[in-house]
Amino acid sequence: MDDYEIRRNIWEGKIPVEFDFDTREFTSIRSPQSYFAMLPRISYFPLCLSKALKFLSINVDEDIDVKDVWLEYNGQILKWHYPIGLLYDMYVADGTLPWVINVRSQNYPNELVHPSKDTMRHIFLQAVKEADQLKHKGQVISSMTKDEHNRLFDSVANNKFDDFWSVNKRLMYDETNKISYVPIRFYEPGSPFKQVLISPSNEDDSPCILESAIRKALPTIDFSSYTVISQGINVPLNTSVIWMARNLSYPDNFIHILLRKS
Amino acid sequence: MSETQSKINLLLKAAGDAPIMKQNNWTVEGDHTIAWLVAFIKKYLNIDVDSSLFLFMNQSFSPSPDHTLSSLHQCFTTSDKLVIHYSTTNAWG
Repeated sequence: MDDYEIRRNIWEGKIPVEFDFDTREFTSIRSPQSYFAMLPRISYFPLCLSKALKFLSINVDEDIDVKDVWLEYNGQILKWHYPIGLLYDMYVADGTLPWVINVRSQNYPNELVHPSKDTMRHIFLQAVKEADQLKHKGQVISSMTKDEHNRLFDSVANNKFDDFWSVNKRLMYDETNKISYVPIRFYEPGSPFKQVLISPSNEDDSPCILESAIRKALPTIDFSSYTVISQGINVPLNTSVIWMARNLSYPDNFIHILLRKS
Repeated sequence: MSETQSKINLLLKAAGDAPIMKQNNWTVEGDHTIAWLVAFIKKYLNIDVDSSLFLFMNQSFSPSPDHTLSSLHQCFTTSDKLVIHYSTTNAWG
């Protein structure tokens, strides 16, 4: 049930990104106007921009902070509170690398959450709480200290796998080893995500598989027109969702599934 | 609760020092998001768009701004009403 190798590989997955600073908006920028970085799939952009912004600040002779910029790809606003890997899977259908992202400073979109570390911490922990509400009626997360909650977030921000799992293992495996519902979200670009109650087992006690979970959320789906992706992987439809919850979840304890029209 | 039912019965409850809404029962489209609801409550209560407003489900977590009201109803309530608490401070943070 616990696939250490897989969990480790998921955590260490990275995407090469080229940040292009929009020369129409950063008018004083000197060359070079791009900055390259390898970003963790499981992290969030506001936590990974300090080097790129330091580079930009030097090139424009001005202190640029994360709240002064926003990110755009192919006309899409990249949401600060979505994991980097989910955003890549969602918007880069052809798998192009490096991921060339436009860094903007003007016309700041209203819908973006505030990219401060405090806001990211809040949103992240609320997702973890919601996931535990589904799994354990919130009993495990509420039995943890505030310090343990903060360690979950800080270990993502600092990319520390062992620190993360020293706390997260309790959210994944409690004494009863029973979970009520599997935290899972289904995304189609351009629509709000779908989330429904998914039991880990079917009525006959067989493990619920991904195909059944997707059908519950999208009853009329035609699988022949879609590719099902999570963590950059084309996930087989007969994968057990409880296995996915323990090994393929993002740090917020949710399985994020992208349904891409083929 | 049928998945195709499009409207949600909402009951909005003030928490902490939040002002109480004169009308707190609303029937709204299920595919509205939490972000929409935050803007709606702020407008109703004349709260500045840049001020904080926290929403809570089951008095235990703040849902993502992208959550639809219908998905919250499906996942976290057994009654026909979706009860959401609002606060100007992080009451159950």
